[in-house]
Amino acid sequence: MDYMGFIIAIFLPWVLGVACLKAIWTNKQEYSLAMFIGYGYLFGIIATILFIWLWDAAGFKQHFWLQSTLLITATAFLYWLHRKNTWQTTTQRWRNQEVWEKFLWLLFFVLVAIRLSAIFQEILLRPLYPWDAWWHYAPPARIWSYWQELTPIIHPDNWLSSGDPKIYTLDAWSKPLGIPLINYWTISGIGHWDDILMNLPWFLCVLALGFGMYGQLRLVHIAPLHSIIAVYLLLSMPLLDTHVELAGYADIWLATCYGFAAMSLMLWLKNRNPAQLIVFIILSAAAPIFKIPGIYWSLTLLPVLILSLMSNRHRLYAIIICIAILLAFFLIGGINLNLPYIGAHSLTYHDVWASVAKNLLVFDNWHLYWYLLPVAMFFGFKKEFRDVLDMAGFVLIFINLFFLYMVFFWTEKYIWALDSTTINRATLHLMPIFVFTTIVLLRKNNRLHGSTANNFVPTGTNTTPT
Amino acid sequence: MVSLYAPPTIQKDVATEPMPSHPPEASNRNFLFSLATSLLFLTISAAVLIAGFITWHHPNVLDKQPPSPITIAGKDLRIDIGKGKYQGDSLVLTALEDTHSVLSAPRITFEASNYPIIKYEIEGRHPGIKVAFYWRTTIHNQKTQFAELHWNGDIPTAYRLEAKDSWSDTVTEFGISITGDIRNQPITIKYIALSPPSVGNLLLTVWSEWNAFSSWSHSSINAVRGSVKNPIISSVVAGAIWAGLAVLLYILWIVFRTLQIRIQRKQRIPIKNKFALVIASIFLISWLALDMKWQVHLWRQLEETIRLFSGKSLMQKHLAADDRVLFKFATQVKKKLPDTPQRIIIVSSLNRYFRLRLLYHLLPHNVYAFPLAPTELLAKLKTNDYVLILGTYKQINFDNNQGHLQYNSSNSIPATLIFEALPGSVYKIGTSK
Repeated sequence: MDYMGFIIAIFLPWVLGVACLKAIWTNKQEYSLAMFIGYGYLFGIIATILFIWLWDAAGFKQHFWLQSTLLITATAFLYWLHRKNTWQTTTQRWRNQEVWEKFLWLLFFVLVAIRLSAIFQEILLRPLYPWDAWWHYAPPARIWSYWQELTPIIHPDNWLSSGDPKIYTLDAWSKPLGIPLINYWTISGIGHWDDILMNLPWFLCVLALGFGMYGQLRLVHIAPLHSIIAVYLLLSMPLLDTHVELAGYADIWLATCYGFAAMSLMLWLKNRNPAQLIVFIILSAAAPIFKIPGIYWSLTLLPVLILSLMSNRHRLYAIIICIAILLAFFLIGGINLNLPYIGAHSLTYHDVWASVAKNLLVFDNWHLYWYLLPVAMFFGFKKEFRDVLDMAGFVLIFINLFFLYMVFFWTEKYIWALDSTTINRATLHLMPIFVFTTIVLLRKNNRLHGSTANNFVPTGTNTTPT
Repeated sequence: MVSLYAPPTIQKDVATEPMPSHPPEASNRNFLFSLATSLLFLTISAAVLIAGFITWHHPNVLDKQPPSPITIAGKDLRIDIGKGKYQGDSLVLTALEDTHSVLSAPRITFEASNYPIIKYEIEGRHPGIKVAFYWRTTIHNQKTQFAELHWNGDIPTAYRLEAKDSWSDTVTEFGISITGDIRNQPITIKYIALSPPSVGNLLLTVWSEWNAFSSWSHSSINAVRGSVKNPIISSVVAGAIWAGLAVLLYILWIVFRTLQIRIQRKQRIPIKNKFALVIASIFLISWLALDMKWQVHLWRQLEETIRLFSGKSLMQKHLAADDRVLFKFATQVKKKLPDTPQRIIIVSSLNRYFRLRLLYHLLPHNVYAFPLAPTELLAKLKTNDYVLILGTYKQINFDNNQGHLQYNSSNSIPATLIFEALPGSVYKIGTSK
């Protein structure tokens, strides 16, 4: 095994991503190191995927060391270019907390570490296991690593008449390239096929998810203790853990990408930091490279953006219109849609409440989260949306729940609710932003949360944040 | 107009408001008091719920004298199939016969309805073997009924036989059936006990259902049940009710105290200070309790994974996995093929999992594994393609004399047998021998 190549394949995207974020982050804006670490990995993975794809589109043969050299050069250049950027840490200092807060912070940190340690060991021992992973996402990587190019994968009907040994057919012919390219990149670094080490990016993804969410919560001025509790709540969810331990599926990546995009949108609505807006745009556009439903999830952020910027009166009108349309569906008894790319869908009501309730409230997919959510939404409502974050959070939850409702109650996808398959994987995509929003809604507005005041520290250099 | 950019400003709530002193709810003393309060109310809630649950589930459990349990010690089980020995009161099973073992109990007849629960203590189990309780009744005398027993570690465990429709009438014969791979690890059966309903048995059954372990399956990626199928009560629902009742009791206590203080005209105690802390503590403790159960599950899973894969090379790991037969076959096939990727078409009447998994192991060969009608297959094949028949496939057979793969007399193509072993055979299309 090529150890150097493996280390570069694993960590270069991370370093590259942080460099990209530093380039985006406007001078003298608030920042959080944890947020940079978390978002940086996702940015780096996306940049690496795009780089490999563009390289192939330009007609070049894949070459790991040449590509790595160029990426390392780009990374170094970005760091050098923005070496004089300075940012502000405005967050409450960890060390200024009460003793009990520090104790609990460490407790939850240790609990997260214990969880991740079990996951890490499982990933490093078990060969590729879940179905879609070895059927959709791993085979293209293996094929490309053999041929050193992104050979075409075509529809089965066309393969039989093809005859070319370089043209393959898999179900993956219709899937996005994101996950196969992540696999391919890692295998390229290793130097040979290894469907165990290939799964390490899934662990790094959940690590990045934890860091990113923690950092963004700190930028909302949520206290360190509450931020680490939010990370614990998210990373302790059994189905999320399962998707990392049985690595290979695209869902955790989409959850991270969509979650980060939505968090950035909310932070921009709050602070008008242009960097957050840029991050939101990039990640929303990137979500579909992991999974096709990323398109729909990204589109749900548009109404969040629009409604959050509306005045209260216009927002009320918009909500009334939505309710009126929904009532019309009920009265008509269904409608058939035939939309480009989305295809034909018959919108007819299916009563799957029992199955949905079972998956959200009875099974242990999400622990007690779905019992907490109504409480959080009640608190958000009670605060009368004086803060734009509360408004955006409430709207986001409402729109996403509405979207899930339409998909699983009004389309033929109700089958996936009945057999407990896609309903949970679709819900997983929402969990990071839902947990983030829950903590935001539960926070007290317009005052500092936690035991001590914020220590606002305008800095002249990149200081270590809390 | 929406402003995309706002110059960095110091937020008013951060810098211009005077630094507040430590709010009272956040002091160490108040936290400890809040934690103690939340633990108290959770304890009260648990006591109320357990009492209520027992009363609701078995309203007559304390009324009548239940029959004595039928306890069969390990030493009283007879080894019908398999190898083992007796050690004290236990039976130690040391080997299966062709992945199977049957241990029969002495012939005792009893009414199934009197013994809705089976308790057992079996040590040395692991996810590689399945342990089932079997029985026959006067009605189902010809057909043996089975109930797969939960694995909860090496501790006493209970299983609800009453959940099985066939657990009825008079039981005439019963015992233990063990299947799988014992992995050279003896299994010790200490006892099985057919038990009447009781408080202890009910609680042990609930605990066993919540902690029953099963290893990863292909459906694990879709949902995590958190307990067995159709448990008495879901652990998540129980956790939610536990926390919810504790919160309700706390709120009632707060209301009561507030009214009491007002009536007595004493100085008002600021309740808001601790209220949020107590509620949050109740919720988090409930979440932690559920999460501890999940963590134990992950550790057990990790133990199993270490047992299967630790210390092995990548090849050895694949040979230890549950698709090892396909992996081994694919490895043998690849040795018979040229080093460069070849076009291979897999035909099979087996479940598509086998075709697709074999495709994965044959990569980077260029494999087609989609369903194909025999006539279309023979029509589309090209010289130097390969056909891999996986399992049985009656529509196409190989005529060794003619050197043809054929569907019927008018649909055939020259082919050469390249390799044959369980579970399939490989043919190269082209000039017959």
